[in-house]
Amino acid sequence: MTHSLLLVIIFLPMLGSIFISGAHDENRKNSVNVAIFTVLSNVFLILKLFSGIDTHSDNMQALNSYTWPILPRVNVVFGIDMPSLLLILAVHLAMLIGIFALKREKSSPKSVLFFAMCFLSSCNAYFSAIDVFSFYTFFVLMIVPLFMQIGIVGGEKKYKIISRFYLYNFIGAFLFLAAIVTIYAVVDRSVEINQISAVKLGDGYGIWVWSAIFLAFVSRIPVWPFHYWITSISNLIKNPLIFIQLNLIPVAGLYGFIRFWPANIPSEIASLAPVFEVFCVVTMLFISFSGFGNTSVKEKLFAYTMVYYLLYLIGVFLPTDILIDNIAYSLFAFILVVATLTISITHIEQESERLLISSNGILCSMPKASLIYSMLILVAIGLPVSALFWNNFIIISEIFNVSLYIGTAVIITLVLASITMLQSLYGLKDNTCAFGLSDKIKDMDTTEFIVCIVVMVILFLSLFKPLWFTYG
Amino acid sequence: MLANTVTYLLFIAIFSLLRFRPKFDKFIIAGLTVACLWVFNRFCLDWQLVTESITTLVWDSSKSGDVKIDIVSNRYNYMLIFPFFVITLLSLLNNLLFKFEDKKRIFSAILILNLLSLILLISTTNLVGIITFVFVIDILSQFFINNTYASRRYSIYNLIADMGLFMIMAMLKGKLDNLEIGNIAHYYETGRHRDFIMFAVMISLFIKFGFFLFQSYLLDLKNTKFHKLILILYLSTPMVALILVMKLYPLLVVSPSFDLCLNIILALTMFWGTIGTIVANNLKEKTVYLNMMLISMVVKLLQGVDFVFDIHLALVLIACFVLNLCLYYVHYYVGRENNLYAVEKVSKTGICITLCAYIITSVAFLSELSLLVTDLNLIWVDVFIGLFIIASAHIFSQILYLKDKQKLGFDFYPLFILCICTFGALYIIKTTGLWWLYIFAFVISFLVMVKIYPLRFVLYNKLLNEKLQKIDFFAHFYDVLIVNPIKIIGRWLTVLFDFMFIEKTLTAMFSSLNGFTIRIFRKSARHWAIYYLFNVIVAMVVVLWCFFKGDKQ
Repeated sequence: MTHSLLLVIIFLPMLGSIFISGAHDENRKNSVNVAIFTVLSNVFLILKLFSGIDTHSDNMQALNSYTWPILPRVNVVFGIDMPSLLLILAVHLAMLIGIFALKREKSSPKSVLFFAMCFLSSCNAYFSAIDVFSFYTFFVLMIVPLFMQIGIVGGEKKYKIISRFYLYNFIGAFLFLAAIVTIYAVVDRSVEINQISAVKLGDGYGIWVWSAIFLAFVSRIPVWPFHYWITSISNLIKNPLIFIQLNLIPVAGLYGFIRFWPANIPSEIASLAPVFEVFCVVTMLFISFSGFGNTSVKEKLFAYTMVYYLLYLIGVFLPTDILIDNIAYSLFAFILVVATLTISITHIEQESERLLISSNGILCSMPKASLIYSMLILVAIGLPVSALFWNNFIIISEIFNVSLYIGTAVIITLVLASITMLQSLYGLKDNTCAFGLSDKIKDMDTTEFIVCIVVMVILFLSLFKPLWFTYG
Repeated sequence: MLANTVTYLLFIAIFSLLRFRPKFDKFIIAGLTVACLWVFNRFCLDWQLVTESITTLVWDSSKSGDVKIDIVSNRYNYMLIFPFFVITLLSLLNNLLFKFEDKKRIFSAILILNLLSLILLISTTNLVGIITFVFVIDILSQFFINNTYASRRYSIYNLIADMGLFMIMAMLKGKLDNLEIGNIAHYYETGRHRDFIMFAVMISLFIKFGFFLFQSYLLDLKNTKFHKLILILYLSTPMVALILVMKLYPLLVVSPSFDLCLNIILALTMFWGTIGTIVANNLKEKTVYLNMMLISMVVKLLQGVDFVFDIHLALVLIACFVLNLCLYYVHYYVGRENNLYAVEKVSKTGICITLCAYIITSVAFLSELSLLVTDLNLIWVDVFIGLFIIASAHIFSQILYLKDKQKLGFDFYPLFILCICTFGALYIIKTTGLWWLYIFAFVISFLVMVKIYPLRFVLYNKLLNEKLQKIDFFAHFYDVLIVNPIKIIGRWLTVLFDFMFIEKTLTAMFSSLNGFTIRIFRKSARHWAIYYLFNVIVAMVVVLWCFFKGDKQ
């Protein structure tokens, strides 16, 4: 049962995309409703799958294996464990939040939703891929829909966005391809990720292959000097759903590291972990300083997001694998918070653009958005209102266990990122900025407000038990 | 036993958060207050009979350990909770009797939830439990404040302090692999970086106390209502710091420099508090400064008894709160005007009654204080009493005589002489052990100083006074030293690395390379025969190179 369920979860969004492509969308509602229905159905299936697996087990479950009928000789294997299924759930919920926000968009969201469903399908497949071949395939495939979406709604600057997007992502993809081709050439068959450390690549090849894989993952995460592309693209993207998807791209890189590090990596590469940690910390400081000095609310959110991704990356680089569950729990809450913050900020920006006013003080005229934004900031800065709190505590304690200096630097960046978020909140609530248009400012609509409240409830429940929706 | 108190209070808080028709609010608040009084009665009865017992709730389990919420019932915890319970009850009664709050029911609920959090903070022994309740109290304090200007710096300062504590707790968890606070004493044996730990804890606590260098955020509370200000001071941040300093004392003493650092900051806080009380025109600011003095003295007294709480300290805290309540009534009797220069109507009878209450409370406060005097803090107590008299007398004299300032002359020197004489007299009387004379002298000197005060050279020099009111030394200090450098570095990094290096160098380089390749292929399409030959030759060279240089096996 669980075997077929996993496949359904992977391909259901793809099916949804076909229905979306055929939907009559004169009133811009049908495609959104189909997308919501698809994602909600998949969420229920994911919850059902959660009840069918052992969440305490470290092994992959619900395995599905298929042999490729022609050359190359590869076995495509899918399976999940608790962290990967939790990430799939988080991505679905984040997409759902983004789809609800699309209702506000003036242009027809049909094409965007079509590719969003394709993105969701490839995300599911990527998080479930066990063998290196399918891992690579979906690693690349998941950016194609995003590429198309940027092309559709990128506006005047879409060429600039696409060139950056293409440059970094496809260089990473090319490096990964070179690495798996080399591995395939050595073993003459496809390899599962947990067996990859046993592959003897020879002295010369090993370091190059692993460096290529490493750089491929790093190209998706904003580690210096790869951080700028994602920042610059995010600033130019206005569509909330695409912004959310763009924010999920680093999860792919992070997940790659989670799957490969530390158990499946040769010791000579693993010994370089402190160097990578230092790189991460430098980038965290860099981004948090930039975010602190920045005035745009969206850039502040982005700086905050990247600092947290790097915190998780440092957690992954630590010489222990007991943190994986904590990283997954924390990441789950984090993805939801960022998605909800994104739709709040998009709403605020749209209103300020519509009325040609500054966003400073705008929340004074939006009681619902103000409530949601304030609560989300409390969650985002790590107060004990979600799973972020306790799991980040564990991650940070392990970082301190390894190095006092790295731990202290991490805390400084987290404080700066949190202050950055508080600054944005107080800027938006600054009631000295009189508009004279306060009666024309539209508050968050009721559906969005309810969605945000539901997210807050989910986050609050995750504080007490991260997997509160399971029986065990 | 304490678990019962927690349960009762939780039910009362939940009940008070329920929605009823507004017309029932008065009865509900009265009922809540009565219910809390009943719980307090039970609490006091339990205190007499209590034996050590622990109620444990497992909040979360993971591979890294269990997070538990312990409710430890023992006499010490009851004693520690006692002053906060009394202060909460006084606040609930105030809320019932006075019209200073619009949403009285919600306000009472927050008060009760805050008390509940304080009780859990006091009674829990788990590191995560402690930091959780510290955060929870901070969140509740935001509900108390409910004002953007007042809460901006308050949130940021508290966030820094809380993250400092969070870091220390995470570090302890990492080093000791245990979440029980009882084990932090072992850090002395196993841990490293003692000065770092002490420094981090101390800075976090100083921020929470609002001591010298870190008081700005408390001063911002002048933008909120008076009763909220004193609630924050006596039921929230500084009191959380007081509880934490007792809990984390084993970490502070790991460094030999702790006592020295603490003494320096306490002395500076006391003097800065006095200066602030004298110089500030705003009554709420004056109150904050006065409390800087009071709280620094309470910490000094605690230091004298190795940070072990005492019932006299509990009474000292209650007395401090009542002193603040007196100031609240002063505020009420000057028509809720904050700026003492702008006061138009003063109810002299009300002020005089409040002054009497203030003096009586001060006497009670100082009597309790005297019971905690040790050889180590003797001189501190003397200086504090002197400063306290000056500061308090200054507030009342300003209120009573500010309107008649034209009639008063410049008499700074007599005042100075009087101060010196008062100090001398107090010291002689105190060392001879005649405490009743001491208190008598205090009352007399207080009244005399009210009559001849204030420091006119400050008050009546309008230009100097205005400048002093506007200057925010510490905001400038932090802007120049921390905030602006971070902003400048951030922008500099963005321009230099993001824009110049990555955008203009790396991306442009790849883009040019891409363009170059495209141009070559375009040309090759035009003169296909030449380029076909060229590509074949290049491929042949590569193949030959691989053949000769490659692995022959």
